[in-house]
Amino acid sequence: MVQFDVEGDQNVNVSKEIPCEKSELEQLELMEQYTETYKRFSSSSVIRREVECEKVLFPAVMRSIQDQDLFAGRMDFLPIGFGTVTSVGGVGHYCRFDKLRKLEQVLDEQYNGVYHQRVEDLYQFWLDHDVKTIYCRQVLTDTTIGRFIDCRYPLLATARLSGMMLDYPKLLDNGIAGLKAIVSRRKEQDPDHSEFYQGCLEMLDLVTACADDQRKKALALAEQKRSSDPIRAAQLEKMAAVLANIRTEKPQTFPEALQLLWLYAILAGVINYGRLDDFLGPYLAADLDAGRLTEQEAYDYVKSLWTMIENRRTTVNGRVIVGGKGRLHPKEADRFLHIALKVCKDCRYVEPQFTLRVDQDTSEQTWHEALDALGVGATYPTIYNDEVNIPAVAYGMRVSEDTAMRYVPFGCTEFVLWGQSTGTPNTLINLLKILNIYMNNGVDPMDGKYKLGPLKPTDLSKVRSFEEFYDGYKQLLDYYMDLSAQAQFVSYQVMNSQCAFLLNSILMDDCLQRGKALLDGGVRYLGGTCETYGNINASDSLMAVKHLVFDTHRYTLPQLEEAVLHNFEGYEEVRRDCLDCPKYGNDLDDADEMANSLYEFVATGIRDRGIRLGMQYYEIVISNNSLNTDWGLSTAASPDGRLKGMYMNPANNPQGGQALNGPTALLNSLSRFDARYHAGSVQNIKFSKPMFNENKQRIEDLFKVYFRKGGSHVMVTVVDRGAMEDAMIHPEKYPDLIVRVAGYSAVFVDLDRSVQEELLSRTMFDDEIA
Amino acid sequence: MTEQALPVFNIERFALHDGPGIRTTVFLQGCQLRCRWCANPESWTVGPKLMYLDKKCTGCGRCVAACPQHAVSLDPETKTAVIDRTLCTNCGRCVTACLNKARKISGEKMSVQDIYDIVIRDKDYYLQTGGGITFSGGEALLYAQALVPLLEKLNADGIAVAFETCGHVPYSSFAAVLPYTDLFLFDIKTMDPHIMKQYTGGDLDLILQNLTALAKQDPEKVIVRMPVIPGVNDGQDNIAALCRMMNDLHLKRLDLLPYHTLGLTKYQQLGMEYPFERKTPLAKEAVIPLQEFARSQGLSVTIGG
Repeated sequence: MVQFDVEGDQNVNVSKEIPCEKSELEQLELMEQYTETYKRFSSSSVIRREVECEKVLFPAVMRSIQDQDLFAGRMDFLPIGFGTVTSVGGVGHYCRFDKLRKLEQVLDEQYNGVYHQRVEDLYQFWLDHDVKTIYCRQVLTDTTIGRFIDCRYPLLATARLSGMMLDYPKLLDNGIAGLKAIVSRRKEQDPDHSEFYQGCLEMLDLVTACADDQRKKALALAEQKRSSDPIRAAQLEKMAAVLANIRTEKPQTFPEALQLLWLYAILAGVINYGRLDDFLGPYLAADLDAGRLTEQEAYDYVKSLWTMIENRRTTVNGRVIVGGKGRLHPKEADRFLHIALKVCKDCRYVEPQFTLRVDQDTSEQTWHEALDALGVGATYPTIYNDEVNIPAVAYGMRVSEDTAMRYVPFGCTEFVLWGQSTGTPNTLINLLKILNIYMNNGVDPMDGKYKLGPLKPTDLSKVRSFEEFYDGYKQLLDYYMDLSAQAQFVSYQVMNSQCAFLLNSILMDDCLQRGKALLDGGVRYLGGTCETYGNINASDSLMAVKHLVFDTHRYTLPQLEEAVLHNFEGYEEVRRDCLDCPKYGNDLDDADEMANSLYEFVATGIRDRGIRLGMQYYEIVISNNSLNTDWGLSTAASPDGRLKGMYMNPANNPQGGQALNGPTALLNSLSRFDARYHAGSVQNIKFSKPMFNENKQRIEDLFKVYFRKGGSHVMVTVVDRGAMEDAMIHPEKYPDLIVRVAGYSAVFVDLDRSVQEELLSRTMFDDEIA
Repeated sequence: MTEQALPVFNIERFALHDGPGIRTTVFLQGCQLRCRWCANPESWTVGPKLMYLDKKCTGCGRCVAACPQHAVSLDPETKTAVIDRTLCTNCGRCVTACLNKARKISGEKMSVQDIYDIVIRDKDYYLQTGGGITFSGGEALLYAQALVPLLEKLNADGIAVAFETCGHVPYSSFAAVLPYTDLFLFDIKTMDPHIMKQYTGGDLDLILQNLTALAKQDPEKVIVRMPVIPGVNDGQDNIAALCRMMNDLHLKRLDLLPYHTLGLTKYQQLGMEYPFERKTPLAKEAVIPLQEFARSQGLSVTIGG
């Protein structure tokens, strides 16, 4: 059986977590109760077991209300519990073995080992029942498919349900009682699925129970504060009143809508929040117009939301999306949008990943506010171009343009259709590692393991043309894409065999209509994504092979490969020649076309396979987190001149230091890929502060032209290089220097040194006079 | 398009200092002036120039072996390469030999088609921002006739053209490009002919005659630029004389360019002495009094390009 480390890193986790409010012993007891319940209902249906387990958790895991909170809803995740993603808790019925071990150590120290065996029993039980572990046992292989994140493998696979963006209008329009009425009606109409509907009803009752729990906590706190801090006491009483109003009834005001949406989202375990401008704007506008809320109060609520999202510390999620086409209430939504842009500029938090969708009708005011926020170093908003993305999504996901307007980026940029599709990136593929393996007779130069699957090794000395060379690489890519599509598909099967994700199902079309859980045939569009890495290193490597071996005949393929295998040590001249080859990102037709050719091969290859397996869509995302750096550490030298262990290119950007022709050239290269074949591709651009702030109008125009040329997205970092360099030496001085890692932002000093170095390597457009 | 080669030493895309909007600036070699504060010494004469940055040299000696003139040797103390410029022919073989990018050749002949093919790639950015192409140098107007076919082509594409000039050329050069040109960024270093001669070697009369003739043709097409050089032209008399002349010529726009030292490294790379005493840049704030004065004289004044 394949070996893997269940305690290994589970996700890209940079932000520091807020510690659990419960004592270790309380946690242990709750986890035991959860585990007992799980066992007791193991012979019942998946739905019944899930409901009963959730009843153990809620409202027990709800935290107390913090001093600055204007609405309620904080919760803890224990090492064992139920969730959707590893960022908060884990996937389905999960056990975070790494965290359980830590808890065991603390308990051992506190109680002299008295509880050791009880923790150990949990550990052993969940080895066979943790959803992700069940998946890993089924899918991982010794050499080709690794656990997320085990960077020795060319392909990583995981089970998770990332990026759920629920149909919040349905929640807000109906309230809990209204939803229950809908579910009850369906239950009568469709008795065959009464188990599912009954589960939904009980889950909705848990939302009410949690509202009541929070209401009690708010009132108790208000009582405490009544004499010492009457203003805060009044806020808490208002919070309690809001909770009372939405415990079953639908919200009438902005604070009520915000409260209900938030409470539901955290109970559902989702960490991306969707088009909040359109969802909350009408409530906000009505309150402002009726004088129920001042602008300042509205600002404070939005800021409180920002804080709540930040405090969840998911690192790569927390999406709030504003602007763009397809909003039902654009005028009211814009009022939320402008307040949110102001909050974004003032707060400069790592999360939420504040996302602005723009189109031709986006106002100058919005553009200016967005650039102002970026100019002060907020790193948000990250900007998506609806004019390109909507038709692209329509094609890629095989839906109408009207439906495509529901696209929302989550996590590191993956698109889903809110309320209608799943898009979790459960597979990740390293194109450069696969090239290394191909060029070295099927052996990964990093660990000497044979990773060619059933394919025959290629004798490089016999390759007669670049096309022949490229075709061989494509065959290996085909093999890995087959594995990838299969692994994605199986992730849904495994998760569905274990969980119903009921709170998600309730707010996702067409689960209630069909009486089926999300992954059991409920969701309207079962989509998925595959993250690709090393795209540009691989295409630049192909370019170098073509140029040096087949065009100029400077080296033979074996000579080039020999230099690469030696990490260019003793072959410095070869490396220089490799580095001098045309590189993507400089508006050079040959290098850009090579990148596009590889992109289209992989993107369409993945997409076609997903469709063949019966998914609505399965598309690549050229997203990024710090995995380009981590995976780079385990990836051998490559013909683009990259050394062994060096970071790989970030997202769809050129390799660090290779963009030499300025921002227009970079954007011309970036706009080249046809957006129809991907479900999100991150495009970073970095400016120094003076250059950006002194030329805002020109930079705004720069982006607009880039968008007209087909650019789908841009993430802008405005930063002083000096600050980053200094922060590596004096981290204590830079607690809030936020930088764009790619798909997300992070506090610079929290990043690993190798990631910091990669960030510094990226070309920054500064203002020097020739 | 006529194939005439031009000596280009840099093409800078997304240039923000040489006229409005987003531009591409084409730098051509060759200049009759020798301003002591010049930031582009590699542009003075036509032809390839070896630029060498000893900081990047690892002392591997590959360049020593590669040089056919025996112009390169290793300094026994610093263990880095040194160049005997009297022997060097700028052939570039040491550049090919160097693995550390310590060496490069500045200046290459490009046809107008080659130049066009590069600058046209940012057409959409120019049109969106009111930008375009700026020819600079050196002194780009030395190639006025040769550039006409390129200017015609750019005009046909609707792309605006600017020249950055020191004005030290025959007026016929201005006349040749005037019909195709939207803007002249016209450097006036000083209003004092003696200082002009002393610090730049140039003939101020010729420059002012050209400026006058150009202003008569179309004052709207001219922005006067004065590099503000401490101790040379930053006095009250000079700015007053400049403003008077501009008003006489109905020239309304003035750019004041604070002295900068970004050229320092280039002198090192060329093995040349930096010809100006001051080695520190002038702060933007130091130029504000001059700006305020010029504004009081009715001019529109910006600091920087």
